[in-house]
Amino acid sequence: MSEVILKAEKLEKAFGGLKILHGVDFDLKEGERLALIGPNGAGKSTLLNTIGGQGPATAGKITFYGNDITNLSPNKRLHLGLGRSFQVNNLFWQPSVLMNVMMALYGGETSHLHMFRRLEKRADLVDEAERLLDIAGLLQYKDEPPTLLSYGEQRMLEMVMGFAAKPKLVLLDEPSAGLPTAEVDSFIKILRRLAGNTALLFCAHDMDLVFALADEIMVLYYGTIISKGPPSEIAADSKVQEVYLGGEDDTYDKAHS
Amino acid sequence: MGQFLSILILGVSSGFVYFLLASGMTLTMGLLRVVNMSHGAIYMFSGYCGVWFYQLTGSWALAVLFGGVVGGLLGLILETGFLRRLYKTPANQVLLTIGIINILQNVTEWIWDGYGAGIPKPLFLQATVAIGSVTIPVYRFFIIGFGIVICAAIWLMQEKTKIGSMVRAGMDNGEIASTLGINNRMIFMFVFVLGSFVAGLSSMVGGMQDDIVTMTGWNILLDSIIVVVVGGTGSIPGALLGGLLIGLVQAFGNAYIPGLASYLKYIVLIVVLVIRPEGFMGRKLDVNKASDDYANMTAAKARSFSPLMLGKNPSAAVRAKLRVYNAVPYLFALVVMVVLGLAVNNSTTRILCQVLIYALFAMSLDVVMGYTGNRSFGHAAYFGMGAYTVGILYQHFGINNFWLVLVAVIVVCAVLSALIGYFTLRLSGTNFLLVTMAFGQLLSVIASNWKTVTKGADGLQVSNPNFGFEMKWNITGKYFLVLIIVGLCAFLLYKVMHSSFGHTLEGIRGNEGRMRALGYNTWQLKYTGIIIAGIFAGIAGLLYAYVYGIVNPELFNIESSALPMLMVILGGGATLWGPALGAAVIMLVKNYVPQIPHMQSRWPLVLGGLYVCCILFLKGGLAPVLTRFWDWVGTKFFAKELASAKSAETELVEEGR
Repeated sequence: MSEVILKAEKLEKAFGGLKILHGVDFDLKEGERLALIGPNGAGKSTLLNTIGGQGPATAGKITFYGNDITNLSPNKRLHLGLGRSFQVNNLFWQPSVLMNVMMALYGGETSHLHMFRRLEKRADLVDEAERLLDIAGLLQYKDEPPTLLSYGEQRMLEMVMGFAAKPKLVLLDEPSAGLPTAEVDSFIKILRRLAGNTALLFCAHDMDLVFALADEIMVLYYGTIISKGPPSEIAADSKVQEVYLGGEDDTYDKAHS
Repeated sequence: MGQFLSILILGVSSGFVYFLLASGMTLTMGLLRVVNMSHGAIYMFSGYCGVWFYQLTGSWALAVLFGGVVGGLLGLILETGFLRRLYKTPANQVLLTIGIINILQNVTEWIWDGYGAGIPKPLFLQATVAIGSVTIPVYRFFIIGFGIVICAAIWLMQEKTKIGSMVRAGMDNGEIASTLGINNRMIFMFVFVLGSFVAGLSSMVGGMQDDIVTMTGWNILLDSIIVVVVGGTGSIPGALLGGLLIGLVQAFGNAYIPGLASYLKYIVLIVVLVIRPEGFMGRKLDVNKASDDYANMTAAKARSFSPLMLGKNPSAAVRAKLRVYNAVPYLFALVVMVVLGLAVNNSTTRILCQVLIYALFAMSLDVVMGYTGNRSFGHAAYFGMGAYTVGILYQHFGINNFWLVLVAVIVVCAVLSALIGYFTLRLSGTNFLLVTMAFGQLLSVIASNWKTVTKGADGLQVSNPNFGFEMKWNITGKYFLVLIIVGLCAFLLYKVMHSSFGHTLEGIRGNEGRMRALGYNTWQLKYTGIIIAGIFAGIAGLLYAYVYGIVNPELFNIESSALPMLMVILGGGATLWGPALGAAVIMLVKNYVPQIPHMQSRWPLVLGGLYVCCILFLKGGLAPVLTRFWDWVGTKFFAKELASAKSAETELVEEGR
């Protein structure tokens, strides 16, 4: 049994008076790929943001490799080995695809105050970036501005950047959202190669992706985890079916009673 | 007791004047997120027009109303004609409205020959009331009463009327308000005109306490900003509280600790911002919102020529040719500056010195403003501090060894920027802008008032520097010294901005949150950027002091901070050479416009026009235009290489099939 690396205890998050997370508890083991599912508005992105440090938790505790990271800044979390990628493709300020990946690699280093060394001259980073881009099938576009890539290729670049700094756990927010169905299979294949043994915590609506990738599935419903287990178990869970398929729905009341 | 009462009433009445000025500003800042620097200038101009109307009709009450109408009209023109296009870009609003101050002030000087407005007091307000041993002028009570009425009226409008609830909805969330069918545009316009109307209406009343002069637009600007920030943007009770606090602090400070009185309001501002950045009654403002101003200044675009088009591994010959191609613009600029320095007469050389010094100043600002996307509005603090370090070292310690002074300037400016950066970096958006401005102003006040050290407005004389070797210290000698130092600094800045560190700054401009998630300590990086910018601005200040032989408090004022911002915008940020070019254009215009017949004192008008035109029409500045031109040259220069690279690529694709 591999060790638990991420532990969330009684996590709460509120925006003003609106409580989004009502005490979330879960843990994640080394190398585990945990999928987070739930209907719209369940709080999936909020949970990822709280763990990634994009919005501090209102209450509760997050531990990562034994460190209390509840109130740590995202950059410190990354240096502990907790990376993240975003749902929106929003990081394309560098002139080329290669430079974007280089920035992600450079971010994983401890000091960024190199005032006289050009990033382009870092042969080690160039090699690594090209290796990653090759895996993602983007090597041919390395000198293009990222804005010229297709949406799917931009998603792929986003993934490459998320894994570049070799974190031990990566948070993925809807990695395949908006991809044409035809591209999803190859996307999953590449994602598996990029991830290797890296642990994943990802939320997704796309069940093909979830069942293809996840070792465990966690169901979030109105800020509470109502079920957690291996995919086969979750697929058969009546509570989950109620949440997704409707019917006489008293899950919310149960969850909050 | 009597004296205390008299000070109290003075403090309260000037507090209400502050409130009257700040109420319009706080509404526009809270609702429209518009920083209207020209609010004070509207007050000033309405005052002059009110007096003119009074002389025409003899009715004081009508003149007050006329002032309000002029203010409202000016507000209408400003909102519909200009500011409407600039929502969500605070730095642009600030610069545009600074241009408007210049224009209004110069027009007023033109019409009224620079005299004060001479605000009249009607007979019933000329009386005094005796309370115990002191006599208090009646108009102070009138100001208090007038302030209470206006405050109540605005408050009632905001809380009890339908339009007021729309205004509040817009302040809470403009987008949602507009989906609920509230016409934001009309509401914005209404609030802006209302704010300007109040400023105009108050001019004849507030002017009784402090007469209105052409400089009033500048003088009261900072006071009203302090009141707004202290009280909390968007809050009328906050503006009242802030106004009264500042009024009382000023009045009692003047009476009991005159030596420190002029610093008190800045201290209040800084203390409030450190303890409660959103002000007494404010709500949190644009925290974590990416700045729209320069976020996408140099967004990656497909270029007609880029070195990458020359193929994967260009030959040594092609690489050498590329190096020449890249160096040509810089060498050209250098040759032009050297030739000009040798060829032109002394007065022109003096202007060229100014161009170079301000080029360095603008380039240093570009680090913060262009590359990092932080709109620092107090950059003159470092420039002035560099110059004053030279002056103080010479006047009080007799040190004029150039190298020693240079080291001192670097240390002093690094410490100062570290200090200001520490306080300002916790703020964002509009507040960052305003507080950097307040720091600059605080230094200006110190320079004007700490006479034993700074000699006040007279300024400090600086003697010729001693280099440790013989050097002819005539204007040509100065010019070449400046050229060498500015050239070296530009080279260093270029190196740093193209380094890994420079890339991280551009990343922060693009998306700070994302940079943090990638592992960058963005606070540390921005902080380092501010210190680098501060040091180079200080070196520019040192050159200024040695070339002109005198330093004075004007170096610190708001205009001195706004000017390099205009240069960055005019030239195009995040390029370094763009701001330098902007500096050249502006300094040449500044020096040659007054030489045109009838234009001797019209420079502020031209400058104001430049601000307005640059902001409205020159979105990316001159840099993109010139880059496009040089790309075009590149396609011609490398025509052969491009063709062969293309054919090689086609071959590769063919092979691949």
